[in-house]
Amino acid sequence: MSVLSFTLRTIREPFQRWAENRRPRGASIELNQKRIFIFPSAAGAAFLMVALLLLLIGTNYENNLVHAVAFLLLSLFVLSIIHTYGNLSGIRVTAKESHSCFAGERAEFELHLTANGKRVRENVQLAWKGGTPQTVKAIDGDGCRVRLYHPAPKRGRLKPEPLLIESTFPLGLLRAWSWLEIESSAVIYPAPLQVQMSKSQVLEGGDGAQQAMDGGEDFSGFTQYQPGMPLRHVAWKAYARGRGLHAKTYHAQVDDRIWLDWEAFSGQPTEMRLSSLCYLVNQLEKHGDHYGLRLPGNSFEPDRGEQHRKRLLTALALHPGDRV
Amino acid sequence: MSAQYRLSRPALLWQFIAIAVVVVPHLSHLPIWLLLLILATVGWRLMVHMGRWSFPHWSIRTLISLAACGGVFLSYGGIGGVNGMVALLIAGFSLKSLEIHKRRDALLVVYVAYIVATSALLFDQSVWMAAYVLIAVQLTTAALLAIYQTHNVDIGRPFRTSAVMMMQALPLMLVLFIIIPRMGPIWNLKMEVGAARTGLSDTMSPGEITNLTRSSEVAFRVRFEGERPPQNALYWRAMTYPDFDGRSWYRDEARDRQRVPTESLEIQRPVLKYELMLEATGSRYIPTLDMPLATPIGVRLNPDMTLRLNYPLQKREEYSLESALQYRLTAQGEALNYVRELSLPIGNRRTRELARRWYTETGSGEAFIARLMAFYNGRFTYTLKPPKLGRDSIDKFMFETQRGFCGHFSSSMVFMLRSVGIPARVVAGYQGGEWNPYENYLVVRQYDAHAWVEAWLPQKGWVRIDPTAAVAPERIERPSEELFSEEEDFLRDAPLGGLTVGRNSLLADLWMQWDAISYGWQQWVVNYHSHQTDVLKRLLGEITPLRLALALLIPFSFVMCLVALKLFWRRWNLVRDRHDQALERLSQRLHNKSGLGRQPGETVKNYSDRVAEIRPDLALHMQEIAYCYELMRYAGDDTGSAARRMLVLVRQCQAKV
Repeated sequence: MSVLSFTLRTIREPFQRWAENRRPRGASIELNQKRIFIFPSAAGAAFLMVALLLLLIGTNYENNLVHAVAFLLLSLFVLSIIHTYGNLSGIRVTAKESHSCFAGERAEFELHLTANGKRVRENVQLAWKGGTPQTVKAIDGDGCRVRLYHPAPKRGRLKPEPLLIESTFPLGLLRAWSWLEIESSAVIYPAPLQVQMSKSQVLEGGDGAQQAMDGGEDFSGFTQYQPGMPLRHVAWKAYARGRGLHAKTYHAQVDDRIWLDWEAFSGQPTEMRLSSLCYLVNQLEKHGDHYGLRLPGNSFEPDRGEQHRKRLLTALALHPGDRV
Repeated sequence: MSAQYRLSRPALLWQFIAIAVVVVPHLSHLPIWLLLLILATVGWRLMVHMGRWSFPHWSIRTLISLAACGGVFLSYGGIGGVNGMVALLIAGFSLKSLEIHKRRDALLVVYVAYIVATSALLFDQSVWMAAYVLIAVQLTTAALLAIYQTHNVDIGRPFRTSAVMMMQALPLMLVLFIIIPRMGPIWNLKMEVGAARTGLSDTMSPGEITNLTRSSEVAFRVRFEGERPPQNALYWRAMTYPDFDGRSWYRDEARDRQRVPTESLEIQRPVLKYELMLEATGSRYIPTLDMPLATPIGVRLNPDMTLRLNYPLQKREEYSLESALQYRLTAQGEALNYVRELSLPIGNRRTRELARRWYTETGSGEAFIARLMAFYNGRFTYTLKPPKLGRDSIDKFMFETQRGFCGHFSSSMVFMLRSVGIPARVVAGYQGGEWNPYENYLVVRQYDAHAWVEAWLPQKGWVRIDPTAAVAPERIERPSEELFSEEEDFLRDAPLGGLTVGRNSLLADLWMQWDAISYGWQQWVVNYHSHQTDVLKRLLGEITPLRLALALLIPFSFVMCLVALKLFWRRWNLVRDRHDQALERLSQRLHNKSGLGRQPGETVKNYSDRVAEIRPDLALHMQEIAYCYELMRYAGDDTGSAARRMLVLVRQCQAKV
């Protein structure tokens, strides 16, 4: 067994190296004869067995018509080389957006597939190396968008594995495939680690003033509600009276700016610190607070909103630390 | 992925179509219970499909499978025969249809369907069956296509796609069919296909028959190398009947092993070469002209110089034969060596006495025979409706009824000859045949069956004597269909037979053309393996592996290139913009009317200006067209209003041109 696997490996490895060197790279790749491999599928091998069986029957019964059917099946097989190849060739794969996620989740990559000519390409499978394939039902000149999910086990910048695009259409007898190195990346945030928000971690106000988690307590007035404002501040009574959505504003007498500090987690391993900070960023954003972040050599002024959160999370994701 | 794959509705429907189509040719030999099983399983699956029932439990499926296997085993007495194997396959895939949920199940059904469809050709190799199997293979391919189609899934698309693919595959198949060398059978298989028994019988009892209706079925076809012999020389010997029990003439196989006089055959060249295509008879004779010289494989030569197959003929077969028409077949010594050909049962006293009296009067065998023939010629009538004869049939025929057909004449003549010590036997075979001028071959039908006499004369050896020729010479000189067509009972058993064999009838001519086609089919397709070497020599000059490979590769690559071109060539596949096409049509029309075609490289704006100058009536339209075109192309015409406006304008403008 080991000898066999060894031989297989020695045969396969040079081929794989060769194939890898040929792999096209880029954000947008068109499939052509340089990039498409084609080989009989398992179903195709079975089909050939059927044709051979018929040939055997024809030979033994000296029946030329049975021969003819066997030859017809063989011809179909040979023809489907062109058809299967044609189903893949001329497809252009373009990397569109990629979406961030937390480590341990799956990152979403958006690909745009278009086909040249007026032929519609059908039943094409897409998969990242080692991933589960996803079937694209039809690709035409207008193209279609495919969301592919890539496992993201670690934080940082994720470069996707090579993309396998394959098809056995129309008869399933041959499998045409190509490996593409799609140039795209996604930022993977650290996996959030739930921590208690202790004062030592969050209450280090920028100008030394004490802050409370709940923000100021002095009610100062109403303002027109804007999306993104914390729901807790909505003046529900006013809303119930039919006066529209208003938010209560509190006087910023108390500084409600929160600083998350790397140093507050001293003594913990880097990854754990990043994960904890990641959790806190999410929590604070959910609460609608203003929060800032201090990392070694990098500092973000307190602010709030989705943009701000992403900026902070990205900083956490790409923090060099001692990650390997 | 494929584990969760669910078959689409059209794919499932195509599965059933394929199953139905491939089973139809086998209906004649499948037992009833198997048909019911197919209906039941397909019905069940349809009920599942409609959501009324659920899939049967695995234990039920196993039980049915085992029962089906046992049933096939009992119905066919084992699965050794082709019938049994096919029945088993059909039972298998109809049961499989009960559990098609995954792609693998569907593939299994389709692949088995290919085999079942093809196996129909083992039973019938006619043009019709071949055409049917071709369609069945196409529909099975449609079922295969339907499994993989994900886009625009409707019922018709697999059919259309498979038709296109078949068209592309047929030329390739033809090349393979012509070029790929055939091997002989790897192991010997005997077909046990119950072919209907037609043709000559092993016994001849003319006295029992009162109405000889004859069939127009084809017995065999012959293509001669060189000149065809004259009609009256076409005596096709199939069997001889040396033994007589008072009623029937036959061959007693047990007596074949007794001592036979050693005969020698002298022949005179030239010999006649011909290809004989014999229909399936279920018997073991091969009709040959006079003395066959070469014996094909699987055939042996009887002492009476007839050919005998080692196995009953179950399918149409073609033989290359050689015959000597001028010959002398005799044994050294005297007539008494031929014990078997001289023995007679007791009875028929009057005939014996007559024979002896005539023999003493004439003195020699030849003169005796001449007297006998004259007797037949003077007194006897040829008819297909002879009276029944009963006991002492020869006496009754010779002295009372004197009406009969070839069987009566040959039977009575052999009796007369044997009575005076001349060895004689009845020969059964065919006489004559009908010439097909379209393909230049001879069709011999069952109604050409004939019986005559062979007598042994000391100097000449075995000679052929045909008493029927003395009674009704036209029976030998003219083809039977011409001769008998006035007789109303002739061919009574064939409702259409009468129409297709008459002389001056359009139908007969059509039949002749059709027969020429099916003969060509038989010779060039069904029996291609026996002609392949000749064909390849004629095509390639000389058969070498290199030439074979080239003959295979060149047409193959040609067809593949055509298919590839159709798929990939840009001009056939390019999406043409509707607006550009509309402009092109307008320009073409302007060119035809006033020679104002758009020049290559001319912008729409320039073109419209040029047209406006010469045709002021179109100026307004042309300028707006150019404006809309520019808007559409360069101003980000999101709503498409400019594009629509342009199309309208072009149409209006075209109307004004």
